[in-house]
Amino acid sequence: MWPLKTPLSILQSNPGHEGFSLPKLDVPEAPAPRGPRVARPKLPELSELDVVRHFTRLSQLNFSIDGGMYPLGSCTMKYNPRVNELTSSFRGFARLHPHTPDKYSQGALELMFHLENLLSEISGFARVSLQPAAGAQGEYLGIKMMRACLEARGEKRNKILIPESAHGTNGASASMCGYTVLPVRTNAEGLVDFSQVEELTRAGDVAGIMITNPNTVGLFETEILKITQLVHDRGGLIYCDGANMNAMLGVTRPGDAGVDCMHFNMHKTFTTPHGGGGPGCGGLGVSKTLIPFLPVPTVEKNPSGSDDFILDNNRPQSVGKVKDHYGHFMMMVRAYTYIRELGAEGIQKAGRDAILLANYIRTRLQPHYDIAYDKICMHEVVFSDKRQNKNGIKTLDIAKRLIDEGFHPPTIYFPLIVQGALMIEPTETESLRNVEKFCETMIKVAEEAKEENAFEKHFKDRPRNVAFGRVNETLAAKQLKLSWKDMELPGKPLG
Amino acid sequence: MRYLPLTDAEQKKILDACGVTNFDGLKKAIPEELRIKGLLDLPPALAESDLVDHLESLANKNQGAWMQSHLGQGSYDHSWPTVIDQIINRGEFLTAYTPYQPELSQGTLQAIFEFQSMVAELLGMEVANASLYDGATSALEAALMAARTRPENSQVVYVSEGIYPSSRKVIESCLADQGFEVRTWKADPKTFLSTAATWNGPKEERPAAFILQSPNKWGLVEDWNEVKVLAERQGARSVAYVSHALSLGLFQSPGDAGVDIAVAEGQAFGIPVGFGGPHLGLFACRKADVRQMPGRLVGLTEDARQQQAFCVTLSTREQHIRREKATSNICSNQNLMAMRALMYMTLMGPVGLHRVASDSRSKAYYVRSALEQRLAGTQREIAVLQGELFNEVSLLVGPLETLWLEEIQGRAQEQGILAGCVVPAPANSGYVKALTMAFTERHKKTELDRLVEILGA
Repeated sequence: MWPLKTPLSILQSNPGHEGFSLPKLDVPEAPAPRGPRVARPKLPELSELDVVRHFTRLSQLNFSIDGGMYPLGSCTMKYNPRVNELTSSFRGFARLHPHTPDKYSQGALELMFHLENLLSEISGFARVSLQPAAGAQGEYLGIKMMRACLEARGEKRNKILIPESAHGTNGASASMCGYTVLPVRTNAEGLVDFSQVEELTRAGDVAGIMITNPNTVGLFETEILKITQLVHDRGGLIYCDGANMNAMLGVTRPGDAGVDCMHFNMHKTFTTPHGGGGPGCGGLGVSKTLIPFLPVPTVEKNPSGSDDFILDNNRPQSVGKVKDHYGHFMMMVRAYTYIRELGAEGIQKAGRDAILLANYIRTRLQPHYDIAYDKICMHEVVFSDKRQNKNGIKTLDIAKRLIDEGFHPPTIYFPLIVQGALMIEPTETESLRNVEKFCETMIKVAEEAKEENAFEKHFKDRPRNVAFGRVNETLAAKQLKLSWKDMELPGKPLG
Repeated sequence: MRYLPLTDAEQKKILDACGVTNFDGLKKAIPEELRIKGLLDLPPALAESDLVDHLESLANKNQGAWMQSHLGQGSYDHSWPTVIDQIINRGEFLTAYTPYQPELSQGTLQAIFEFQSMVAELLGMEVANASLYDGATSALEAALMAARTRPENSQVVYVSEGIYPSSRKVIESCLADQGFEVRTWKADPKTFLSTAATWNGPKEERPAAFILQSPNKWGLVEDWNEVKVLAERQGARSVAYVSHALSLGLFQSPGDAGVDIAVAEGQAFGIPVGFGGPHLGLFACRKADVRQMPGRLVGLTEDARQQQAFCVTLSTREQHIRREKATSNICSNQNLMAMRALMYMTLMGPVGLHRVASDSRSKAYYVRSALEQRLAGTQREIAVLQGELFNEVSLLVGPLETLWLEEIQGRAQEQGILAGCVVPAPANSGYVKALTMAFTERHKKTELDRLVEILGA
């Protein structure tokens, strides 16, 4: 059956086969170490072709952006341009050691300096730290800097406000910084409940708010200026979750709205590869207030006036380091390549087209699915399974049904405030034709869900048309087989 | 634009469908004063050929990437089979999402399962996760996990004196937020090793964890039994931090010594040094502690057709489910880097890993012996550090020779050589600084001889 599966590599091992080519040792062999490994590790022995075939077959079991549309809300699964892979592979970047003296790494420092400026312009922040390894680490760094800033003012505040519609990382990052989380309600309009923010900040013990804008139901927080003003007036600071930055490209700037810091997700907004789960690349935009607390080192123009760049480690109020070296530099090369290809017009078109396509989906699907909040959306739109649920069809059923039609499902059951949420984000790199096809499929599924015995007829045992049927996640958690040591491998006692 | 297919006519069609006349109609929710008027101030768009030229010219300014380099301290310019670069660029790996829909992600999932298996095998541990950011953040997460899995509430973590300064800075900066104090587990000023005997804390102290890095920042291989014994004695968790994953091809695994948590920097497994990242954090522990482990885990299961299948498991530890009560805020793994490392391990096999490790060590050994001969009988405060080494050699200098150390590095640079990194020597060792020089299988004997020639002059 196509595509072909491939057994675990350890089961394909042929003792004596090898997939490497190493230079002949041209110095005397060192005497054997004291405290050597007891036994050689049990790893497969395979020729290069066997390895290539193994991984090629594995790859064919994956869905990918290159293979089809991923309407995953809040994930911004836009096309990952291949030129990024070329530029980041240049030897001058790939084989540059992080401890190289500044004078021999000028190109890298120049790139980081310019990338910081480009991101500042796009987002309206005073400076950007490129150090965070991923969005979650950017969140953590932002909260850490807010805390350092408050402490520098002589204030010890230990609470932080987080809307109940926020991404799970927000709370996790805040608690890593030692904060207690106070949840904020979403009002009937799908927005942060301003009156509750007012109420919770009254006592003056709230360090700040972590707000997602546009929020996770795809709506712009219309009262953002009122919120930032209020929190500032009461001595707090404002964090913005930048997961949804794509909607703001060339349209509006979070820095202009009074936000003190916001992380970037380079793999969403600036096309670094998703890679099946990482690596990410964070970045954190900060307002003037937070500049003294930036992590070290920062990249600066040489203060001596020459036109070269230096790494500045001498920042007395810095929060220190959250990541070794300077962050995920090779991802910065990709993000920089993307921004330079688009220019100002392209950046604006990206933001606008993302919003246009999401709204198109909204208008096309609204007659068929219950919309979470009936109004113009930004880059994503959230529906609920309320209508289909009456006939016994749930969001998960719809998701698995879509797989058989060649689409990756939307983000499901998030945000938690929407019953059976289906969160759809097309991104600007999809053609209208693809989006139209997706809508037609969604409508077809909605029609199926109306039929009598809909579940039995259309939704049971999905997916049926792909190499794997429904995967038993309960069994995985129950048996906890987490490596091949935990398996009984035929004829090969291991571990 | 090639990535932005919507034409003016299609935009118009969408606007009509939305019942608005122009794009401003879709911006109603954004307060007037926050809307960008006109265009951002960005440099003009570049056509692909100009873009490639521009990036190439930036890359070419990084002369360091072409110099004979002995920079190490956790990042090593080992070679890798080029086929890794080809396979990793398959769109099915490069552009896939996190494998939350297992029916559509079996390729990534099986790969992670194989990765977890090989990492557990190399570290000699029961369970490994799908990877974390890098060695330093893995050591940090290990400290936090140690604190969670220990009955007694302790806010003290000891790190060996031989830990990389930048790793220590990461651990310190982040643990401070949760009220932890990081203290130094001294190294013996003669051997440059941290042992149970060199720890000088109060006898009754019950810290959360002891973290031992090996090879240490001076390039010496530490003994994992020391961290195990010391931690057990003080009622703490033992954490082994393997700073160079290839050393596992040659030396005792942390699991063999019975440590509680083992982490490693996996960059040397087929990942470019790339000016510091992305690299790869390896993280392993006992199965009994797996529910306190940070990061993603993939487990074996089956699908509805009784086929062997894999899926993300124990997600209830993770931020997207547990929110502020999660074991960590991390929501990615270093997946492409884990894939590179997996391909590297699969291609190298046990024989290849042993060879790279052994050859790199032989090169370091060759340079150390040559420098010893050159320095024999010198009256100056310069010496070669003795002890069990892996691929890094330390040249120690006393206070009178720090100027010489700077000069000699400058002289090496003039000849196109980055001689190494400078780190502080242990207090009371009689030396103030160490020049650490890293060696890999890439270095040729002629290059090593040139280095010795300059340093020994």
